[in-house]
Amino acid sequence: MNSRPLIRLKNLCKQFGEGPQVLDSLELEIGKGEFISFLGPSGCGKSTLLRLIAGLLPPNSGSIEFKADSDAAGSRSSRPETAFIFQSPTLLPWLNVRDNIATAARLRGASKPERILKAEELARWVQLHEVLDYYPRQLSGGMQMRVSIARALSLSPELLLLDEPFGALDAITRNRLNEELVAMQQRDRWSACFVTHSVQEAVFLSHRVVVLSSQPGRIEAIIDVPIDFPRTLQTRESEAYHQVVVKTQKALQGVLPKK
Amino acid sequence: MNFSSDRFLRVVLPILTGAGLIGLWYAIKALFGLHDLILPAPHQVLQAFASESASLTKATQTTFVGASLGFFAAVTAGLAVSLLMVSFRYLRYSLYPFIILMQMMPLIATAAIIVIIFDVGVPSVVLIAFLIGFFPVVASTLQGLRSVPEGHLELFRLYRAEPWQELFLLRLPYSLPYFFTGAKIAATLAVIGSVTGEIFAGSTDGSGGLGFMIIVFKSELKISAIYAATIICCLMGFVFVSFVLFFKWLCLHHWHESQMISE
Repeated sequence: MNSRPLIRLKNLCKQFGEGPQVLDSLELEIGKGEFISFLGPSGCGKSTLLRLIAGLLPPNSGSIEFKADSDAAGSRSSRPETAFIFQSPTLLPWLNVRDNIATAARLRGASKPERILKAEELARWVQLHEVLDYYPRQLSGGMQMRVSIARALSLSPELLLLDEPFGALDAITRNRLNEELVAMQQRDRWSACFVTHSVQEAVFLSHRVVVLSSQPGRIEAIIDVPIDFPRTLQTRESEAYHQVVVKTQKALQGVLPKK
Repeated sequence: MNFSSDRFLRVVLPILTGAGLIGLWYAIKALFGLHDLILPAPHQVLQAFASESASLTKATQTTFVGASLGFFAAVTAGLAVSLLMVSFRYLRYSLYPFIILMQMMPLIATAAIIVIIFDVGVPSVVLIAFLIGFFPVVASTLQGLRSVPEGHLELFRLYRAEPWQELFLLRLPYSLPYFFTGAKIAATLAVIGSVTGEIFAGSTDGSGGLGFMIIVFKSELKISAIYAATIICCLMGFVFVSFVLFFKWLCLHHWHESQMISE
């Protein structure tokens, strides 16, 4: 893994109005091509953190620094091309699969033939090429999420933010999409921030798992996942995987509210 | 119950209900010995369609034109104003309470006031049909434009969409089902509005629509012709609403759930 950081969170704090502190003094570096998962109890500010990184919300204090490619000579210090995959697929119901995937390119002013070509190529990657003319309502939850992923990848992002994207799916679909996501990440090497409630999912996907406590959200533990890529079905059965899952589980137990 | 017999009953039961109502009509007339001037029989109403066909046809045309103009003005202006109101927050703050308030305005009062200001004639009728349809279109379209889910808005913001892109590629298509709900209300009210308008604002100089003819028939004691004119009003409202439903189907049947229910 390339260790040059893409993002640096410095003393990041967030609070909504006069409400409780949601995120408190977060310090973290996310490497280029690194896959990081955020685990924590409900209300620990995981989703808020993603929105801060995406620039959808401003922090109260602290900062988020992005390292642009050095050859750009600092001319573009802004955030890298970022895609967001939401909890729900957030597809536009009046567009078919092809046009949904092409939405991001359309907003950037790409010509119609150009974006259609790109959309159909992406659809092949995520095995949607046979349903290009379908509308979202005709697709299963897993298929809808695939469309959402294809749309996110359509602008060749450097950074992918995923907010519990597979939470609403059944276990079989979820595992399949996890494996596909790993394969895509290995091919394109984007960095990822992945929010989830599932320890298994976090460990399977990530280079590192960040465990957050709640109210306020603080980084309680950062767990390395020393398992080689590509990760496959066999990974889930390996001893190394189970050890990390147990370790992560224990770290998570530590931050859950005591009953 | 299997599907085909269900479909059969869907057709047959309304016909039986209709026949029953006509039977009831005859029965009430006979039972209470009601004079033709109080309650004409159904077949007399049918005869009135024939005997008054010339005046009814002309009146129907007049009403149709008035209602159509009012309806199209209400729908286009309503849509345009909604888009402006969702784009300019201060405009929305300023106007929204009045949009809601104007929906409560009684039709009869509107008609009376318009005639006082603009005198009788087709323009007054169109204006009444317009006013009665405009506010429901704005109210429901605006609701649609403003209820786009937060996730979709974040998606567009994340991709740095221009304001016009958010308006025309996201808010407008999202609000179409709401718009058609408003348009359907406007379609129903357009016919009711123009007939009411004609009762106040119709005149014999060629602008006497069905509403005006109802007043004329009443003074001439052609009671069955009043029934005939009323039936035409119902049918015209039905045509208007069907027109809206057809366009709604055209725009939404690919993607919107409301179009997947068989009714």
